[in-house]
Amino acid sequence: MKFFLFILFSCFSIQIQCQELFVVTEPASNMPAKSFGIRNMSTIMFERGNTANYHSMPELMLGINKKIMLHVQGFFSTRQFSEIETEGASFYAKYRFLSIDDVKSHFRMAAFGRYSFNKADIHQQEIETMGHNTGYELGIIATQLMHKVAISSSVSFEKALDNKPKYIFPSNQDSKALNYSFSLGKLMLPKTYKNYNQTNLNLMLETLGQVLMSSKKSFLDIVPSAQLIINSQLRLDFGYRYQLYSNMQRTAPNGIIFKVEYTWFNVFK
Amino acid sequence: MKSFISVLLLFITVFAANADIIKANVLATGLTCSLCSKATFNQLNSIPEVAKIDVDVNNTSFILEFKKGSSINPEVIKQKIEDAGFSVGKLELTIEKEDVSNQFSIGIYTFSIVNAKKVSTKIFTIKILNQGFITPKEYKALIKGKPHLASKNKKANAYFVEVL
Repeated sequence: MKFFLFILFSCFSIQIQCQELFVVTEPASNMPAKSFGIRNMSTIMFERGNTANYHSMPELMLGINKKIMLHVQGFFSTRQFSEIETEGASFYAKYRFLSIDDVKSHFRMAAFGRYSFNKADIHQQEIETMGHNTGYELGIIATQLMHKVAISSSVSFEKALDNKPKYIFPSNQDSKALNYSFSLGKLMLPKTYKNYNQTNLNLMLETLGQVLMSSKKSFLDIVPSAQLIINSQLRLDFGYRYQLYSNMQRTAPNGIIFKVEYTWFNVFK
Repeated sequence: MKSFISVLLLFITVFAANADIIKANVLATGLTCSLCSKATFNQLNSIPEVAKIDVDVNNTSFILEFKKGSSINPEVIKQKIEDAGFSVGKLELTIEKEDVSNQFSIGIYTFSIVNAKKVSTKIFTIKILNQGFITPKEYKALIKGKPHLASKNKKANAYFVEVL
């Protein structure tokens, strides 16, 4: 807890630059038009009884134009078996519908949708279409960059369906949820930009919450993270997801996150 | 037919131009980080007429030098910055042209000088005042004082400019 307070304090106390390329949430901003990116999110989530699951979620990202971007993502994990298993895939689209830019600041809003399928067993009350449930998610995001601080918030509706072919969504479980997030990011280094080769260091703090719509059961997680941007093109994120509170059944809420991302610009005409 | 027209337009713009846009100083808005700046740089660098770009990462501004004889449409620069995900906060063009009156053309583009300053040298710099080429706040203040400069009152390929 002291560590979180330290991160929070660091974020607010020093007036330096920041980013909005959050680790677990998406900002309302898009990737550049005609650009192509690859990303992999690896997580090691700790199960009760000292076992750990490894998840890998590689992602292809495409900036169709300045307003629309698409992602295709695969879900692989060791959660069910000791070997890594293909569990599912997901399609994600984001549409930026509002953009107000000024010198070193912006306010943006975007709508997003995700459709995922997953063939793993349904093992918890938490609904997570990113890697656990077949289902869809629809939401909106608002992001404000204020000179050197970025804050972002999102609200979404998520609906879980059957994890076909084997696993029917349990009828005694809530299949609809409301998600919300609040993210804060800040660039720590460099203090002054001189060129594109300087490594950037960002510190981020994200909170993620879910409320199941019928039972009103909920959880709230916090994710402190550090991010390096190398050569203004390669992104490395290190974070820790920690459950602040929950009254729903979740199998492995806490764990380490490692994310790597690389973007190519102007790949198609 | 489309490509024929664009080739024809290209010839018209190249040969009708007795003037050059030598340089452009662009301020991109909506960003602070070097990753966003690099995305913008890559978009600007894809403009065929651009010979060289000097970047001020800290101030999110770019100085574009154009190939000799080029007649860049300022709209293309704006489009490229918007494709990167950002906006134009300022666009200044350094132009080489003789005998410039209050209105002059480069290729198919017309520039109307709206401030009192006269062009007295062969090489001079102008700032574009059209909507989308200055910050929304600046544009709002501009048309409040001079409503005739509202972009709805201008013709296609026409720019209201200020001599610096």
